[in-house]
Amino acid sequence: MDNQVVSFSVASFAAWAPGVETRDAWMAWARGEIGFNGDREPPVKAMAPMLRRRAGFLSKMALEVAYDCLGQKVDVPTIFCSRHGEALRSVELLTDLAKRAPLSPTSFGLSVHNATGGLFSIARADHANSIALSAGASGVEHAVIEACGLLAEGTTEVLLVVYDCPLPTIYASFQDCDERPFAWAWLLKPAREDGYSLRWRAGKNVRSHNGLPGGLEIFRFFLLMGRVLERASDGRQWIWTRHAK
Amino acid sequence: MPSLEDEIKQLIIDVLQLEDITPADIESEAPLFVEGLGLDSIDALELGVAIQKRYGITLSANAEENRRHFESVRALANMIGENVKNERS
Repeated sequence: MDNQVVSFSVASFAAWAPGVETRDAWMAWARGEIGFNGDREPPVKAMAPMLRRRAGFLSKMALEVAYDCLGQKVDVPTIFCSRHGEALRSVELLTDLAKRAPLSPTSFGLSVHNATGGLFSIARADHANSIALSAGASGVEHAVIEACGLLAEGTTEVLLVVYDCPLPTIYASFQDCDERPFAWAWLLKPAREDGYSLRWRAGKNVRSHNGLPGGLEIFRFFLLMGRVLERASDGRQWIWTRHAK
Repeated sequence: MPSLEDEIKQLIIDVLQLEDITPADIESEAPLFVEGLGLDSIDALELGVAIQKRYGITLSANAEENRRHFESVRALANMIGENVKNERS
């Protein structure tokens, strides 16, 4: 089919990046007034220290926004979406293997793509459906399609967490955009008059003019309440539209 | 020079990333797992790897023996002390 579409609304959101930790700071970032800065880790105060200590920087950012966006709610399906995931851990483990050094069991356990979702579920004793997704440069689009699938099946809300970190230096030649550490979350609900739609069709790959990774390009569009955002990646053209009431 | 027990306490804190805990908070004879510090099976594996790396000790596959060695900081210190002594003799 040439033109497919999903629709949804965003009931609440949260975001965290080093140096851009508050809503005001995110608005200033979206307007281009400030950039990401420093290597501070999010506190993730909501998680018990004995579990929190296992999470690395990337995981902590994802957990911070997941807690922030979901609050005390349970039984909400979650989608954790990251393009590179714990690539840094994997490189460290592979380096240890190459040196024939023993592997860290903790790091091995946390290197899998669903580790952050697992920690979140264990910490909250929440048995809700949890999905871990990685889908190249159009990860957010695929995550939103996944979320809309869950909503279409009758789920009333879905938590989407998008998070990433720059690639480890050894993979520098694969870098195709200006990667930054960041995490944001949306609580998605069924479409309303003032919601969003995402359409897609086959298309050519075009590098975004601003060099932002998809996750940040889409989040900036969201913060600035843009009307239409067109992206091209992974052989598809993606058209995000915000509908006004 | 810190005692072997203090050294192990610091190793536990560093390797298991125990926030807000100092060596003085860990009692040498208190249980490390479940009770006491509240460590779990992943911590036991992690600590085993760290001890292997630091002291060059290969832990046996005997679960019962390991359970005894990992009971407390004192038990670990005794096991490491014995191994290092045997190595030297």
